[in-house]
Amino acid sequence: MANNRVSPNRMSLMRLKRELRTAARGHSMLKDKRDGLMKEFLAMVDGTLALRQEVDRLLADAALAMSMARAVMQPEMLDEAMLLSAEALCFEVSRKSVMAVDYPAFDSGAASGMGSGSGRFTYGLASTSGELDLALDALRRALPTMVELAEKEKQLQLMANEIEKTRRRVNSLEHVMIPKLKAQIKDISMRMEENERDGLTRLMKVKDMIVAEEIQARRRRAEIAEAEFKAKQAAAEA
Amino acid sequence: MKKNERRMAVLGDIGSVIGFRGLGLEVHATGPEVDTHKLLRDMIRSEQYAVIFMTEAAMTEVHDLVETHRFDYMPALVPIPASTGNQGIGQDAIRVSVRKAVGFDIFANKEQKE
Repeated sequence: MANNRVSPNRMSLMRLKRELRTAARGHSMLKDKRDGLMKEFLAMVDGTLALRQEVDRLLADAALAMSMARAVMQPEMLDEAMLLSAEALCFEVSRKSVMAVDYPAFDSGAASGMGSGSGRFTYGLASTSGELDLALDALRRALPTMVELAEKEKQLQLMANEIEKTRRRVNSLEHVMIPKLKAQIKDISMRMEENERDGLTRLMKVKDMIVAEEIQARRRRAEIAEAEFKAKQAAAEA
Repeated sequence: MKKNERRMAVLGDIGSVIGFRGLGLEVHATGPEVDTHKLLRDMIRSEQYAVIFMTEAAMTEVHDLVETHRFDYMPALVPIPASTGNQGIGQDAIRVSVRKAVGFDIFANKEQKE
């Protein structure tokens, strides 16, 4: 990696090796997370599609019933009846989590329990037709399924988002981060070996120089000693 | 309204959605004279809604806004068929999620076979 060189010493080698270990561990964990999420996701998709078809069917029924009600009632009467019956519906939202993906859970119990019992029709029965009651019943049947569908669809969306994010992380670790660290580690260890060989050759060279000097010095000493010896011999003979 | 209580709303042409008012849902009629874009944006910003059901026609009208908020925690923007019929946008929404998660549409072939 030419773009960010690190100084080739043991300190940075150790640091890089530690980073590589962390990256490899993170990679395998994220991979597990991705696979786990994918499993959950695929298990949910079919159910959600079925739920969607169910909602479409229920609402088509309701729309048919509603058009019947429209046909037999005065439009103003219908609008008035609907205006009167606005009893605001609130429902509890809690937070659920699958594999660390948070998603909102809607309390569909509130939706199904609502409007049942004596007060189910809040409009006057005299001015409205039976078809309207039927239409509202059809909608009421559809509502819990709709709420369930909303929850499932939201969960799918959030999971899909998380899967994509995790997949990006896995890929960037696998194809960028880990190869880069490996290349840096190789670079450093190779340069450290090179330095070691450098030092070794230098030592050998210096040793050779010292040895050569020593040889010369001894040779000189030997010559001097020989000359002295010859001089002594000559003096003795004389 | 309690802290984690949210409302449900329905957006669409009055003919398709008026029935929901009878169930206590908040109904907002759309039409040529209503700025659906602004309406939906204000609803999302108010953070009081958990689910906003929208007819497919309304959904198409505010497509960009729906895309922006598709992966938000809340609200859930759920398409419903209008009284005029079903265009299959609801199924498409699920397939968008599938495509995002898997990388390609695993239901594309399945449906062609059927």
